[in-house]
Amino acid sequence: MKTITETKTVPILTWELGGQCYGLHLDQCKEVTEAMLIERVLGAPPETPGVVNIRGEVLTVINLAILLDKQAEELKEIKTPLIRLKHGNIALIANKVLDILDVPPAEIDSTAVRDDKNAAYFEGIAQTKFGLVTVLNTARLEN
Amino acid sequence: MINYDEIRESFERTSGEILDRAEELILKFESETAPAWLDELFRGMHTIKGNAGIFEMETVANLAHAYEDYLSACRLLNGQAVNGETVDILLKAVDAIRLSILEPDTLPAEQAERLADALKALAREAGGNVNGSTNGTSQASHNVPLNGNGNSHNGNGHNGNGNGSIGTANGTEHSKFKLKVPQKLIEAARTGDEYLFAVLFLLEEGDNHTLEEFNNTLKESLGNETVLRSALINTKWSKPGGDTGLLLMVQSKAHPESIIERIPFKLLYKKILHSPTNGNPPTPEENTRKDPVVPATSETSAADIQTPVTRNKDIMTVKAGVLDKLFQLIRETVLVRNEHMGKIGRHSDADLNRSAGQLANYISRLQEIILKTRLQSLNLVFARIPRIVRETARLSGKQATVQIEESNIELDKSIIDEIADPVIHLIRNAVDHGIEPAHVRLAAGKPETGTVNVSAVMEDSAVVLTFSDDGAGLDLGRIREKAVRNGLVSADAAAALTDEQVTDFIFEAGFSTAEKITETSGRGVGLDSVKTAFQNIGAHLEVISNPGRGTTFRATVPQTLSILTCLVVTLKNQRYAINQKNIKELVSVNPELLSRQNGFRYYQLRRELLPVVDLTELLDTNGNSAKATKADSSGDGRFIVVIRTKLYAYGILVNNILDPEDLVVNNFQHRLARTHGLSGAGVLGDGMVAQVVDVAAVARLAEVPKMSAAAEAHNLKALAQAEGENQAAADIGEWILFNIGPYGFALPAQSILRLESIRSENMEDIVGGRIYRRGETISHVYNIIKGSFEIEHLIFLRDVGEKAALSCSQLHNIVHKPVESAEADGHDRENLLNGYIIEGDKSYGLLNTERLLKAVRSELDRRAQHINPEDEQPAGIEEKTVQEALA
Repeated sequence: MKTITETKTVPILTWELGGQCYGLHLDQCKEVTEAMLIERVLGAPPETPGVVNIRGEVLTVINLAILLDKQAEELKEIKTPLIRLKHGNIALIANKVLDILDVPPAEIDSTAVRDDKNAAYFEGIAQTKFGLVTVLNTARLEN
Repeated sequence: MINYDEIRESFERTSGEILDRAEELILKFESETAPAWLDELFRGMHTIKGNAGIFEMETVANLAHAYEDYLSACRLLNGQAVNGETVDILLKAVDAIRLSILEPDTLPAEQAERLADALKALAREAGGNVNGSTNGTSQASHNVPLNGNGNSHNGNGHNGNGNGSIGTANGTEHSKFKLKVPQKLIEAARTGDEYLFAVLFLLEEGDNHTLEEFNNTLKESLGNETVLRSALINTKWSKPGGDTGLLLMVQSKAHPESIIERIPFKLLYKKILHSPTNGNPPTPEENTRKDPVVPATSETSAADIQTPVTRNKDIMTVKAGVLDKLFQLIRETVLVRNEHMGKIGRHSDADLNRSAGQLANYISRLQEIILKTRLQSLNLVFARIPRIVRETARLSGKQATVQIEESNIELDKSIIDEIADPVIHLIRNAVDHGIEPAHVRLAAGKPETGTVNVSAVMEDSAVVLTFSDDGAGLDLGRIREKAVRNGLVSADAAAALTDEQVTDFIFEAGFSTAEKITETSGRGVGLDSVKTAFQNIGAHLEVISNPGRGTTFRATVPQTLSILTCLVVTLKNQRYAINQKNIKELVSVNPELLSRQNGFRYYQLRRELLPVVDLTELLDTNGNSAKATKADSSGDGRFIVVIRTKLYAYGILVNNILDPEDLVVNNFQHRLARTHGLSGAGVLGDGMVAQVVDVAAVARLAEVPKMSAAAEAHNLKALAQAEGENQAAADIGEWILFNIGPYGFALPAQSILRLESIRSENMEDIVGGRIYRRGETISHVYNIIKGSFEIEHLIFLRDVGEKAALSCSQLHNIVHKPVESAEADGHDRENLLNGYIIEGDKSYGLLNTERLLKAVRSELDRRAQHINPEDEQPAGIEEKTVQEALA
C-alpha cells in the first residue's frame, strides 16, 4: 500500500534585484508590471527614487537593494519591471521577475536572517531552485 | 428585520453629539448656570438615560440619572455660577458616560458609583434633593425598584416598549419590568388613528377591590374610551406585603392627559405607544412622568433613538464609506476626463469639442459637489479646545483662557479626522509650555491669566488655522543648546543658523527643552508627529515666535482632498504642477535681467528684484543635476512663474509652460512624505506624472525672504492706487499690454486679477453674449471689439472677480513705463485716457479703468435680467469710439 504524505506549500513570487533574489507571498502582491518609467522625485531618499503611474494611481517606488544596503548602487535604468504590493500604494523595483514558487512554510527560515538592523523587513530565507530567496515582510514596507 | 448594530450606531452617534454639547455647556457653568442651558442639558441626559435602557447599560443610565438629579437641583441656583471643582466632576461624569457607551464595562463599577455619588452630593449642595423629583414626580417612587408583568407586547412609531432595567435613585438596586404590547393593539390604534397608551397607577391601602370592580370604576370615569387591557400587578416595593399597581392599556381619541386626569388613582407611570397623525408625538417628559422608564426591546427601530435636536428633513445621514466610494469614483472620472480631453483636443471637429467640453464641465461640477458633501464643520475640532485649555491649565498650575474665532469653516472629513489630535496637542503645548505661571506673568507686566487665541480663516482655497499664546515665546538659546547637545548640529553650525532654522528643531523627533516631564507634555513626543500629520494632508505648519510676547503656530490646510487646478510646467524633461492660486504672472525670461548675487538668483522684474529659484538645483540633494554656474545663471529657464503667497513673492524658473489641468493630487506618502519642496503627484491627461510644487516649502528651502509688513503695505498702497483712477496721471506705472485684433491697449497691472488663455470653441453662447465655464464658476466674456480669434486670452479684472473677463487676441508683457501724453485732437475719448504706453515701436492706448468697470458691471446686470441685446444699446465701450480713439 502506498502512503501519500501531503505537504502544504505557499506560493512565493520571486524576483532578482542587484544580484540578490527576493520573494513575497503571492497574496501580498497586487500585480507585476512590465518595464515602467519611473518619475524621479527631486530630493527623495535614494531608496525611494520616485513615483510611477499605474492606471491613474501614483505609487511610491522602493529600491530594496538600497533600502536594505545603503552602499548598494543606485539604479541607472529608470525603466524597470515593478512588483506592486497589495496594500500601501507601493511598487518594488525588480531587475528581473523570476517565477512563482511553491514553498513549504517550514522552509522559510526566520532564524537564518543575520541582518539585525533590517530584520523587521524579512520573514525569513528560503532555499529554492534560484538559490537563497529573502522572503519579505510586506507589512513593514507599508509603514 | 431590525438591525441592532444600526440602532447601536445611531445611539452612539446621537449620544456623542449630546455629550459634546454637554461639555460645551458645562464649561459655561463657571460663569453662569442659565436655565436654558440646564434645560438643554437635562433633555440630553434624559435622552441618553432612556436610550441606555435599550442596551441595558446600567452604568450609563445611573450616571445620566444622577446628572438629571443634579441639574434639577441646579435650577434652584437661579443662574449662579458653580465652582471649578464642580465643573471637574461634571466633566468627568460626561467622560464616564461617553466611555461607558463606547466601551461598555470598561469603567470600573466603583468609579461609576463614586461619580454618581459625587453628582448627588453636588445636587444636595445646590440645594436640591437627590431623591426629589426630576420631572415633578414623587420622591418615594424613585427609591423603589419596580417589578411586574404587564400584558403583552410590541412597539412602533415614537415609542419603545418591552423589556429593560429600571434604576433606583441610589443606583444599586435594579429589577426588570416588562411591558409587552400586542402588535394588533398598535395596528388597531393606527387604523383608528387614535392614541394608545399605557399607565400604571398606585393603589393605596384600602383599595382592596377585584379587577372587575376597578374596571367598573374605570368605565364610570372614562365613559366611551376603550380600556383594552387591565391588570393588577404586585409591585413588591417598599414593604414586604407589597403594594398593588393597576396597569391599563387604553385606546382613545382624547389626549392621554385628559383621560389620566379622570382616573381617581395616583399615577406612577405612563407611556404613549401610538399617537394619531394629527397628534403631537410624545416628548420624553410626557412619556415618563415617573422616573422608572420603560425601555425598549431589541425590536425598537433606529428611529426610536431620540436626539435632543429637532430632526431636519433636509438632512439625511449617509455613511462615510459611501462618500468615500463616490470620491474615489470622481477621482477616476476626472482622470479619464483629462485623458479624453487631451485626445479630443487634437481633433478639429468643433461639435465634438463642444460637447466634450460640456461633459467636462459637468464632471467638474459633479466633482465640486462631491467634495462638498464630505465637508464637516471645523467646530467638531474646536469645540474640544475650551476643555483642553481648562484641564491643561489646572494640571500645570497655570491660569489660561481661550478665544476662538471661527466663521463657519468646513473641511473635508478626512482632514478633520487627521488634524483633530494635532490641534489638541498644539493647544496643550500653548498652555503647558507657552503661557507662564501667574507670578511670572505679573512680574513681566502681563495679565495674570494667559490667553490662547485660536482662529480659522479662508485664504484662497485653503484654510489658515492659527494657534497663538501670549506667553514667553520660544527660548531660541535653549533650543540651540539642546540641538547641539542632542547631536543634531555642531556648535559652530548652530551659531550660524538663522532664528527660523533654530525654530525648526522643535519639530525634530524626541526634541524637548522642557525641564521636567509633566502629565501633559515634556517627553518630546509630539511636535514632530503634529507636523507629520499636517504634512499628510498636504498642509504646511510653521511657527512664529516673539520673545516675551508669545508663540504662534500657523497651519495652512487644504479645504478638500486635493483636486487642484494647476499650471503644468516642464523642467529638465520632468513635469511639475503649480497651484494656479499661487501664480501671479508668467514672465518670458530676458537673460540679461537674470543675475546671481551671493549664491542666490534674482530677476529684474520691472522695478523690483525678484528672488528666483531653480527647482532642480534646489531640490536635487543627491547632486544628480549639474550645478548652475554664474555664467549659466539662467539655467535652461525660458520662463519664470511668479509666485505670490501671503508670505512670499518669488519666481520659479521653468523650461516650458503647458496647459492648466485639474489634477487629482496624491500626497506623497511613506519615505517620500519627508521630501521637501514637493507635496505630491498627479496623473496628467496624457498619462504622465506631474509632481506638485509646495510653493511655501520651496520658498523656505531657498531662503526667500518673507515679505515684510512694509512690503505688504507697499503692495496694498499700490493696489489702492490702482483701484482709484487717473492712472495716466501717475509718473510711471505697471501696465499690461494686449491686442484686440490690430489695436493695442494697456491696463494698470494691479487692476488685473488673473489671465487665462483658452480656445474659442470652449466658450458657450448664451442669449446676449458668451460665457466661459470652469467648474461651477461662470464668467461672462466681454468683448470690447467684435472679432473672432482661435485662441482667446481672458483678462479677469480684480474688481469684478471671476464674474467677467475681457477677451483679447494677444497678450504681451507687463511693462513698467511712463505714460506718453497725446495731443488733443477734438475726439471724445471717454473710454480711453489721454495717453499711450510706448513699447518698442508700438503704442498702446490707455483704457479708462473706471469707465470699463462701469460698462462691464452694466453688461453683467443686463445679462442677469435677460434683456434682449437687440432691445437696448449695449452699455459697453462702443467699437466706433475705440476705433476713433486709435485712429
